[in-house]
Amino acid sequence: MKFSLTLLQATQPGNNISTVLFFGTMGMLSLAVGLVIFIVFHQRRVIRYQMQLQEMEEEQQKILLNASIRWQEEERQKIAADLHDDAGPLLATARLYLNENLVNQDLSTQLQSIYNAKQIIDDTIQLIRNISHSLMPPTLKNFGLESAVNDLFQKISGSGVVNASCRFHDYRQRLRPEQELLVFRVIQELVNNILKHSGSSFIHVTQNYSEEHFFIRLHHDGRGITQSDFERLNKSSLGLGLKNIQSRVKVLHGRIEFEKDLSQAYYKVTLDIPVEDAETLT
Amino acid sequence: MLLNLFILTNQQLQDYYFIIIKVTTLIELLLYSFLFYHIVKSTGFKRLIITTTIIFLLYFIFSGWQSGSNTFDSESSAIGFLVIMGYCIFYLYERVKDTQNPFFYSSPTFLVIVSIIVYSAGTFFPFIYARYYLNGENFLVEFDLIHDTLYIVKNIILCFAILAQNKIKPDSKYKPPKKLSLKPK
Repeated sequence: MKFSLTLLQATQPGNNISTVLFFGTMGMLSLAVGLVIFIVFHQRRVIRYQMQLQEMEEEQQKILLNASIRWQEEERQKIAADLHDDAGPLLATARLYLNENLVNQDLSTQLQSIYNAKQIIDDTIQLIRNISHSLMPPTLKNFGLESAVNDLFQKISGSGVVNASCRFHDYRQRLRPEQELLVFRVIQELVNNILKHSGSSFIHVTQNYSEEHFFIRLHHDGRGITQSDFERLNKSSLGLGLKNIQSRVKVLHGRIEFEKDLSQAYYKVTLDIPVEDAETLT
Repeated sequence: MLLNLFILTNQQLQDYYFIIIKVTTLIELLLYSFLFYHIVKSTGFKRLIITTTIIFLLYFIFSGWQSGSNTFDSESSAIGFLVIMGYCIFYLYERVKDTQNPFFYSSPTFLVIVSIIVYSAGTFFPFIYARYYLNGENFLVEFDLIHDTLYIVKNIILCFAILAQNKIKPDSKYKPPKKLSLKPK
């Protein structure tokens, strides 16, 4: 489509102008189209990457969920076994002592049977109390994390196999009860793992509080794992306890670090929890 | 194209052709500034758009007055092009940085920006040379070819943008009642 213009002087543009115009326009169009194509491909790559991350996250969640379910089932089996193998026979024995024929026995035999039955029932009560305490230690609920951990370590030291100690440097600002329970479970699991697998002779736990963060450090001199081992075991089907630890640390919005001390003499595990709305002990 | 047709059919308007072109260029830039002001999220950039628009407006008036009413104002076109490309690049940069919405390249807004980029980039050189070579017949033919082709391409992309906009389902017509009475009837 041509249109007429008001011309002052008719001039003929040279061929070089046409060339410049053509190549200039092509160059600019190429840059523009190249920019658009780059943006589109970049975004597609970002989308692919985000989808991959999402899949990995879902996979990890599945693994953690399976580990949690397996752990629950194992705990139930353990409780069932304790009740069936220990409490059951004890109560059955007590029942034997308190049968109907007791009324036909002489007084001293009756007294002896009642006494034996009472002893067995006391043992059963103690056994059930121990099962209950292992499920939910009352010290934790009534006196807090420091007392519960002290209690746990005293029991471990009392066995004579491992020298276990703990020291809370600054626990004026208590965690919330649900946080304390989770931290206690993590410490319990770590200690169980150490006792089962590491062959260490001492376990020491310290607590610190610094810049709105609550730190628990666990040291032991046995065979430990490093952070890379922890991550590798978490991705595999092994390491049920470690997966539970990771789940609990995630719920606490915290971090856990497994490392070997620079002196190479011992391993340490550091649990770092951000403290929000914590209670302050008066 | 419609503007050119309109001017061709009115003899009186042909004397004011270049002034009309300058005014349409200014209106075009103002509309683009308005568009980008609404689609970018960064408040700093919104302020920059306003500042740039005011500065360009002042420059445009000065340059237009200097160049007279019988020549094409290539400098204003070139600066207008740079400003628009700057807006487009910043908008794309903002969208790329926003990882929450990675599918922005399938949105109608992106297609509108692409049409602006393609048209502005393709017509940059013709407009730059228009002031000095518009009298030449060969140049006119090439100018028409480039400009009209890119104009058609721009409109095709805008059509796709409108069709893409229509494909987005409208919000449900259902509106919950304003007052929810929990008392039994």
